[in-house]
Formats: sequence, structure tokens, C-alpha cells
Amino acid sequence: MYSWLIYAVAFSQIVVLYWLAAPASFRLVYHAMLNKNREWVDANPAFRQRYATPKYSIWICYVTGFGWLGALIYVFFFSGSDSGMTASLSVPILPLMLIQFGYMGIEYYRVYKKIPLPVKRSTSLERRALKDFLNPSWVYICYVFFCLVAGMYISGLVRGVIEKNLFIARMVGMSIAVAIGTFSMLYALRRKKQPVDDALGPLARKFEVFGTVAVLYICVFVGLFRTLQDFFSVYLFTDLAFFFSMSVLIQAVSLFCLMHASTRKLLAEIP
Amino acid sequence: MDLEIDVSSLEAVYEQIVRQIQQGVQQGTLAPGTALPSIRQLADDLDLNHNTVARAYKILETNRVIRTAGRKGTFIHGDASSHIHSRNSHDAAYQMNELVTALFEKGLSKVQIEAVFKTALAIKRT
Repeated sequence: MYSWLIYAVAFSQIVVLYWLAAPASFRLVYHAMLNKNREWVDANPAFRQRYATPKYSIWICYVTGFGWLGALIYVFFFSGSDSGMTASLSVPILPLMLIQFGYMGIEYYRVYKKIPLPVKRSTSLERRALKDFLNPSWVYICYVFFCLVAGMYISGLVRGVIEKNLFIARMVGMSIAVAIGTFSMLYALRRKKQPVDDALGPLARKFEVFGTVAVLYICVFVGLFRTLQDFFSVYLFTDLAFFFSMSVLIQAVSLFCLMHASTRKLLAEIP
Repeated sequence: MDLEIDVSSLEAVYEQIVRQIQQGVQQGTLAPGTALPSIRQLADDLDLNHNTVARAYKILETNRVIRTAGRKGTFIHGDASSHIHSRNSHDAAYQMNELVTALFEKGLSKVQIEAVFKTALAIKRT
């Protein structure tokens, strides 16, 4: 019974993330890049034809999604491995992040850099500092917790309570999570106004900043959970339950954003 | 409030920023104590060099239109409107003095200069 639930979430994440959310996000990113100088782009149809909608990147997503479907079918029905269950809920998300970041990098040089800056530029005089969205103490508390967790592991390594390999694995994992969370938060604060902000209103950025801080808190939660597990052998829940919840959460947020009327309207306007 | 700049304009970009922020204060759009974006944010949003925005902020700070409070940020000065008004009055007096001197040098009498100014003001009023 529960196995089928896991299969369903694992398969649906391919459909939701690789086939629905990622192509939509590619199109939105492309639209945002053209927004650098909309008048110039409209006046130069040849540019629009040459640097058309990112078809190849979208097809890469579809094909990679099919690849993952094949891999999941193999893991679930032919390999007989139990550890594959946990991996099936976490591993497919990581390459998607790489594809997304890679796509943004490529489009930056392929499209954005080739569009000249507009002669007339405008911006809002509204400040976008962290304190304008929430009390910065919430973020500082996160970093205090990260330091506490790191301190616990360092002392554990020095006292010989945990093994070196486990220490390295935990520290690398936490560093990557903290780096991604911090980068996302700074990007949410500093990025320029995009068409999606006009479509969703001023709450869009607030929602984005809150989301990135929530990601930092999830990292803290995982750090504390791992500390209890590694030092006190206390298992609040299994890895499978955690990744299952995370996958459901990510899919729900993605679907909410995709199904939002403003997003659908914006996507319909992009050729 | 939105800030609009035109890089092709004869007016320097930093002057456009100074002028528009002062206009915002005088029109009441930027109330005393309103937080302004950081130099980096404004420069990045407008695709300008950070030094250009820093120069504009420096002038506004010298004119006591804005005040910087360290890491807390930059804010509209509590008496920004009166400072702009007194600054404008001072500038007007200086420019008027320069103009009157130039007109005297051209040989116009005091009565003629007064007549010219009255005519100019009358045209402006209509």
C-alpha cells in the first residue's frame, strides 16, 4: 500500500517538475531576458527569430524526464533494492536544479548579453533589504543553528564519537544546502523587477523571500535531525519519510505556482 | 515612486537622479524618513555604474535631502523639503545676481532691467 504511494509521488515528480514546471520556468526566464529592452526586441524581429524560444532546453527536460521514468521503473520493479526508494524521491531533483542553473547561464550569454541596454530606464525607489520583508533575526538564528550543528560535528570528530567519512558527508551536505539557501535568498532580494512581478504583484517577491528563508529553516531542521540521529541514535523519522514529504511539498508549490491565474496568463502571452 | 533616467539626455545621469528625488520630496511622494534603496540596488536596477548613483547620493546628502544611517540605510531627511527650498532660494539669488550683473555690463539701466523682469514674469503668469 505504502509502496504504491511512494511510486506515485516518485513518478508524479517527473511529470510535475520535468514536464510541467521546468519548461514553464524556462519560458518565463526567456521572457524575463527579453524584457531587458522590450522596445529594441520588438523593433528587431530578426533577433527574435534567431534567438527563439528555448526549444532545445525544453526538449532536454522532456527527454531527461523519460530517462528518469525508465530509471524509476527499473529501481522499483526490477532491482529489488530498498535504498532505491529513498533515492528515487531525492536524486531526480538535483539534476533538474543543475539543468535550471545551466539554462539560466546559457540564456544569459545567448540572449541577455546580446540585447543592448535601453536608453530610457526606470525603476522603483522602493528599498529591497531583508529587513523590509521580515525581521533579519529569523535569518541570523538560522546561521547560529548551522554553527551549532557544525560545532557539534567538529567536537564529535575530535572526541572520536563519529567517523571522519560521516563528518565529511554531513559537512559537505550542510554546506551545499546553506550555500543554495543563502544564494537563493540574496537572488530573491537583489534580482531586478521581472514580468512575473508585474503579473503576481508585490506579494510575489515577499513570497519568494519567505520561501527561501523557509528553505534555510528546513536545512536547520535536517541538521538537528541528523545530529540527534548520529549522536544520540534518536530517529524522529526515516530518510524515506523526509524525502517523501519534501517531494510532495515541492510538487505542491510548483503546481500552485503553475496553476495560478496570473502565471497562466503570463505564459499564454509568451509565444 | 518610480525613477526614470535617460542616458541620451544632455543632463547628466546623476543630476537626473538628484532632481527626481528632490521633486519627489517637494511633491510629497517621498515623505521624511522614507527608506531609499541602497546604492548597489539602484545602480543594478538601472544598469548604471555604482559611482554614478554614489555621486547623486553624495550631493543629496550634502544638500541635506537624505541622511545615511550606516548599516540601517539611507533615508529622506526630516527637513528635506525646507532644505531644498532654502537651497533653491540660495541658487535663485546667486543666478539672479549673475544675470543682473551681466545686464548692467551690457549697458541696461535699472529701470530697463526691472521692466524686462516684469515682462518676463507677466509672460510666465499667463
